[in-house]
Amino acid sequence: MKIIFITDNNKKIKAEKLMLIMIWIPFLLFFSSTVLALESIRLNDVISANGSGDIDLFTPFGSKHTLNGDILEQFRQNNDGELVFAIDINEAADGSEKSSSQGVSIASAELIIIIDGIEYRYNQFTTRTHSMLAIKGSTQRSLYPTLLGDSGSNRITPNSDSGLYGSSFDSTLNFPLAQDISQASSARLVIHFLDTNGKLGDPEAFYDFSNGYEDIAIITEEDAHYLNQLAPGMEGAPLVLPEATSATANGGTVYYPSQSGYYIAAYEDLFPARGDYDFNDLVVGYRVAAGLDTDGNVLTLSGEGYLIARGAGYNHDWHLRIALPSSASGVGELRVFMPGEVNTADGYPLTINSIGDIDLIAFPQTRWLWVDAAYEEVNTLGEQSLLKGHRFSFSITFDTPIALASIDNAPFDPYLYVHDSGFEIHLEGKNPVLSHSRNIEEGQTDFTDSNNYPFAQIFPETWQVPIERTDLGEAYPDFIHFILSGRNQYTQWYNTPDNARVKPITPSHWKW
Amino acid sequence: MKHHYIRFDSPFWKVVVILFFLSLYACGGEENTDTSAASERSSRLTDNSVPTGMSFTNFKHETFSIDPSLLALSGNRLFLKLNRQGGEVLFLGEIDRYRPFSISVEVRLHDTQLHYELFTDNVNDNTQFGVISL
Repeated sequence: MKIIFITDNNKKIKAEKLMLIMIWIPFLLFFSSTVLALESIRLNDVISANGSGDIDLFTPFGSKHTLNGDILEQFRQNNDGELVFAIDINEAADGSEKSSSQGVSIASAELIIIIDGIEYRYNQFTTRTHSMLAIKGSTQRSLYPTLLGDSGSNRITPNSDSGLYGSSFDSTLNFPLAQDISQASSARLVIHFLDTNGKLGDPEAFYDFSNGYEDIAIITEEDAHYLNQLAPGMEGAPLVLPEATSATANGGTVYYPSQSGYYIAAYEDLFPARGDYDFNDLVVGYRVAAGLDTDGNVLTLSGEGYLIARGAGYNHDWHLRIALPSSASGVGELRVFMPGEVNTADGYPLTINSIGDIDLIAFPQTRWLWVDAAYEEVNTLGEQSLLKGHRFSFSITFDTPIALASIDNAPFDPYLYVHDSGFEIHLEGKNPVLSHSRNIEEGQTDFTDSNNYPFAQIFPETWQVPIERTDLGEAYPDFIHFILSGRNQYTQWYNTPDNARVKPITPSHWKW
Repeated sequence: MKHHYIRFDSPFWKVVVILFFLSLYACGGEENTDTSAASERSSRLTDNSVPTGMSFTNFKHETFSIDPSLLALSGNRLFLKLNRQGGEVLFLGEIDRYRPFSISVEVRLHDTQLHYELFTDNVNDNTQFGVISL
């Protein structure tokens, strides 16, 4: 279709020029904005495995970008007078560090910029977190800046052209610069991580550097905000102190059962009928941490856990319930992760709006959630290859602090709801709580069987899962002596299994 | 049609029947008279009922308490780290410098000690290490 607005020939030519301008202006604007838009840029140099880095800020990774004084000045202005770097924390996931939470600490960091032949050094910087740490060979602790993160992430930054998009960058490092650096002929970042006294355990063991190398990027305000909001790895890190060292009291964290350990909850799901005593119908590892103020009152509750084995044809919901005062209220999130993935499963996170007790369905519909394509069971058959299970995490912040003593004792109330039977199964001494279960209606409120064994037990994390239809007492010959001695003898019965009768699922496998 | 009858009152069948009952007695008698011995040999839960009300927990609650005001420390911020004897961290963080602090933790049944460290934000304060017997 041809459109002629004006029949006069001169006017027609003018109109065509106008049309061309109207078409080209938006295109040119778009093109120029694309060219000029500031994007975060990954740098070529890295912090090496020895914990030190001499990073040339004029050498980007790859050939897509250019870096010079002008562009560094654009970054400085974009970040309100600061150069901001992102660090990809890439530590060994062992000990208290794990894939979802890792950290390093900084001994020193300095920007060295040359302008007109004059060298300027800037060694004042900030990080989002600090910790009290002792250096190698010392027990004397001082405050050090820290960098936290997780591994294997896939950052979805606001701008998909950003050098951070799809990467695994974690923490930010800020250098305030009052000076225009557009005329800089050279710019370097020299950084040394702290060699902590790992022999003291945490927090030093957590904030050591153990793996390297760590990538660095120079980033925009938009991406800095994104990473700071995300705060990867912060939830699981020990002794995280606020950015301002003179900030108000921070409080501490009490861990159940410990900062690096887990409870293992194991179930017989034929309740109220006696099962085969293999205690592998569902096996879950979990732990809970309470964030306290300096008076010992609870400000936050958080926790995480993993599916370890499912030796059942029945379908369950696995709940973690923590009894709280009826006046307790708070808001939080529940996340479930697919096996081995750092991004949440579809439908998560779920918002927790809590009043009174917390009762989370951490692993719903286990029969359909976690499937071995070749078998009905997962991780309980002798010939079966091991699969990683799903992971959950939750955190909740209370509106007002709660006395720790008013919260249910650990290991709390981890229980099953069995869809096939309609019964819920709790630890010995606990009561049914679900209005839609059959327990109360049918008087099935005692969770021990005709031999006086419980249907649910909590074991330490070194306990391994009995192979399908193997009686727990056969898998662990000392267990019955432990019980019959009134729990005074054979207290480490779980460390001496009959290896031929247990599935070798160690924590290093299921804690991913 | 010619019928053949088995004569159970013949000497042969009498011996067979006696041997049959003797064998039953031998097997059944051993089972009946040695039940407790069988249970002692078996570690299977199926073979061992336990008394009502037995506890099965492998953990125990312990309370750690300290009064920091009694400590000669210069720093204003006081940090406590509490460990199992095996090293696992049970509590880590800041506590009130001047008021008694108490915390409930869970340890294994066989644990006999809690280890603690106290440190401040003042580099002149030495980290104080301690052990509490359970």
